[in-house]
Amino acid sequence: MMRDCENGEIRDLLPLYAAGTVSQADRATVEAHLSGCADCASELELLDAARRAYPAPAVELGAVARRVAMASQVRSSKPYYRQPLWRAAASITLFIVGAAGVVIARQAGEVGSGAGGQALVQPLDSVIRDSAGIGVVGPADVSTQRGVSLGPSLADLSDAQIEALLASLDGLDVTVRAEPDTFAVVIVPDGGVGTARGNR
Amino acid sequence: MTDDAGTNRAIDAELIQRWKAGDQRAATAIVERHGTALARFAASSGVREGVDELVQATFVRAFHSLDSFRADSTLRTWLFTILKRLVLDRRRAERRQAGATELEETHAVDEYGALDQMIADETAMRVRGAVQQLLPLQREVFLLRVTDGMAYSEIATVVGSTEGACRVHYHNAMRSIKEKLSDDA
Ligand SMILES: [Zn+2]
Repeated sequence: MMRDCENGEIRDLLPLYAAGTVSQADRATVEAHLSGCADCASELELLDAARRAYPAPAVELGAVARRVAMASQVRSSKPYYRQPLWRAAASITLFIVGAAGVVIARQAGEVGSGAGGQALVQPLDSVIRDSAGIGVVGPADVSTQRGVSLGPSLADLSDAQIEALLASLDGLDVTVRAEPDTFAVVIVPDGGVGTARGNR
Repeated sequence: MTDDAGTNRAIDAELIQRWKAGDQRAATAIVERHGTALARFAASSGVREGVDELVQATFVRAFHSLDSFRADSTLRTWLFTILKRLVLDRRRAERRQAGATELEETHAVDEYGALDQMIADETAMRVRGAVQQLLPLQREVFLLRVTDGMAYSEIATVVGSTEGACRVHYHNAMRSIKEKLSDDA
């Protein structure tokens, strides 16, 4: 059985010494004592073994930090929606919603200025309300621009499309509460869909 | 307070100020400073799956309520306290789901198989075996002291006890571990 040193003060400092959180003054004291005390030296070995016995599991701190930033409502010079994952989520949303918009537009005969090879530009704000579901908010200034109101279009998505949309969002584990940026969806008559940043 | 603790507190305080002023990099720096220790605390508290999510949830909760953080405790202590709450919530939910009371027991027992890969040496495995047999509170105090080098005042905050009681728990834990190891030998 390992014996206990009678110097309680040193024994109290040993774990901090092992962890490297001891002050410089205490470190010198501990080291001076350790050089002449076999009991404390073997207790320190035990402490080192205990530290090796509880390694930290591997965690991708960079990824955690990014997700925390996205999930937090950060008062930041670089808002969450300018960050890569958010952009990916927004693009996926816009792609699916935008594609549905084309269908609606054609059905409603509102393609208007989009005819003849010209692109139809739709402004829209999309909001991810929480990690479990999404809501799409209509254009911020519908009255000034021609286009398709995207508000109700989500209801027209097929089940498979909604599944895909939700899966993509769940996978990102995004929780966002702030106001979104403005995006414009450019729909080319041949069915291609692109996105462009709204001017601010 | 040790010199290092004072320095760490000053660094954290500055990072918090920068984060409040809108510097996103400060939040990242906070995650990088404390994430590993939180992950280890989660693992030693018996969390086996979803450590990333718990660590992430801890920071999210912390950043949402940073205004309520008072500088009389350290940021690390506060984060550990939040993580501990989340671990307990999760365990309670799991227990409710399982409808069983065995979780408290099973998280004290170890799955050596998975750990064999991580812990190379036999001595560490034997010490771990002894630590796992400690009473839960003793084990928690011991590990906060040994793996994180926490002051008793910090440990007291995390486990909800007093400094004096934590010192007693630590030394009882050490005695108990030595006894177990000599029984083994
Ligand atoms: Zn000694």
